[in-house]
Amino acid sequence: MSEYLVQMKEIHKFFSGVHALKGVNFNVGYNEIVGLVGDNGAGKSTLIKILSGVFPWDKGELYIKGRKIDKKEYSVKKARELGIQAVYQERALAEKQCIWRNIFMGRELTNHLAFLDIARMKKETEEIMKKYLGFTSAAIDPDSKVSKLSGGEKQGIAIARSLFFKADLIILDEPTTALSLSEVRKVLSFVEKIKEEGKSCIFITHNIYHVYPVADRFVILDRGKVVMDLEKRSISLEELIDKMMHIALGKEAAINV
Amino acid sequence: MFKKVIFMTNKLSIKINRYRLQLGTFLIFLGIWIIFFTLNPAAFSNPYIYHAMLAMTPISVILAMSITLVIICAEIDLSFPSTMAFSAFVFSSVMLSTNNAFISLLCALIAGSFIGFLNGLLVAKIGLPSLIATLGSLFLWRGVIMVLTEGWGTTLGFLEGTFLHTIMVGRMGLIPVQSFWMIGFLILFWLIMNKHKLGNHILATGDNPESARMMGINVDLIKIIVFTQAGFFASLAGIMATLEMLNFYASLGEAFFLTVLASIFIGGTSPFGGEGTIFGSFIGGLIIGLLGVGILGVGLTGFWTQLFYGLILIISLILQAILRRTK
Repeated sequence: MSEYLVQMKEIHKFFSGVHALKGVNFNVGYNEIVGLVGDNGAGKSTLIKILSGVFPWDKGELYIKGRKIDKKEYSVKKARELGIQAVYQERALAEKQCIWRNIFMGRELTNHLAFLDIARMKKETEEIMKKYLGFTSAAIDPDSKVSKLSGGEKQGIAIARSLFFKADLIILDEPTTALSLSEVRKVLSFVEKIKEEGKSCIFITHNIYHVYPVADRFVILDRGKVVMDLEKRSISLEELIDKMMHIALGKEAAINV
Repeated sequence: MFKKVIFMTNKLSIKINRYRLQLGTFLIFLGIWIIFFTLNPAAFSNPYIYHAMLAMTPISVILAMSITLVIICAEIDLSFPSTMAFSAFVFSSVMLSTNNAFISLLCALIAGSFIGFLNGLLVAKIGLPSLIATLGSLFLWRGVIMVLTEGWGTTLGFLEGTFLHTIMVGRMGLIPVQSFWMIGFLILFWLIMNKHKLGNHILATGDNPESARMMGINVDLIKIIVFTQAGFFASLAGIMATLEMLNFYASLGEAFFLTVLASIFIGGTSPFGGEGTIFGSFIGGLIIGLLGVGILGVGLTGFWTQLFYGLILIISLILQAILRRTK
């Protein structure tokens, strides 16, 4: 078994002339939480979309669990089969549907005529809600609509769904944006759950304060390049912020020139 | 014991709360019936008024239930009146040339499903907004009929009492057989939307197509299936109407256009997709049917009909808005 769950080597991506990723080296280990930090336009979402199979890369190599991936055969479906799942804040859940329909969306438990096994799905959902989310309130049950949940709880449902379906790497795209402080705390506790379950996570954010408490390692992207890749134990929050300030100032200086 | 009673009433109130929209629609139906009954008890205790209602209403209810699936999918099908007419035209033409009822039925159903399938392709594969795409096919297929028939109809009186006529629109005692088809399809559509994987995929597609796609649902295929079934049932409705009247005419289906759409929205289905109710559309269709015969039954002229349709539609929508706001 390889040392890394995911290994990206010298990945390049061009969008009609724009060099979006300029030889990115990016790894995720087993049972590791990686904070992927960077400004808008740094290339975070391009990198993640390549990794989750939304579009192919132009140059470079991708290894998943030590296996080299053929970019012509890679897709969202393939990524999911290999245990990689992305959770996008806006696009994760169907909000007018109840919780159990969301948990099992696209992977319904059915009999041989494709009729739903609703009783079993509700029971599983109840267990998922208890096990991964710590929902014990009687006000929310598997039949509750997702639109009734708070922003953090919605993220929790999406994360729990990925865990339940045995994802090895869960990619969270800006999971804490536009959430209140108490909701951010909830999301962070769900991320800790990923760690406890022995799985890995890429936590994308531009807010270092949100990711610092839970991440094992920080990768900072800037204008299509990895400019920093450090273990948490080797850097304090203050030093990290300091480094980020430098990167931001360097960028301003470059613009001013 | 006391605790158990509280628990049971709690559970009941949750259930009532969950189905309050359907319950609301049903109460509107009941309310209208009570008003009619009070105004003319003699007419409304006579079974004939219900037989009159059940001759055409089931056709419109079947259409409403089928198009509800399209609306839950966050799309719309405006082409069904022309699909009805085109299928009926195929049916009567094949009937006249082959004299074989089942071949005619089969050809007509295939033609209707094909029109639906084309609508599905235009929406899912070419990406046209369904409102415009199906408006286009509404004109197109009516146009084809107009060109081919030059506006003339066909009398099909010879079909009366044949096997096909009997099983589709015959009378069981006094009850029109189409009412049984209506109940059968109510069960079928209800099962699909509430108990079947396909229903779950339709709900997810209508609610959030991006998320459905990411969870591995073939959103394009679901849309094509939904439009194709709408074509199939429009076709079936067209054939039923033709058999009931024993006559094909070039403007067949036009009378169903707005009342079928009104039935769906009276029933509480959201125009924004992702939610809707088959039972609601069923009751909505019955409300429209009841108004149709009831207005005449209480001694008003037919000129009043549209006024009441509009009134009931607006009252239902206000009621739904209130019910949606309160938890």
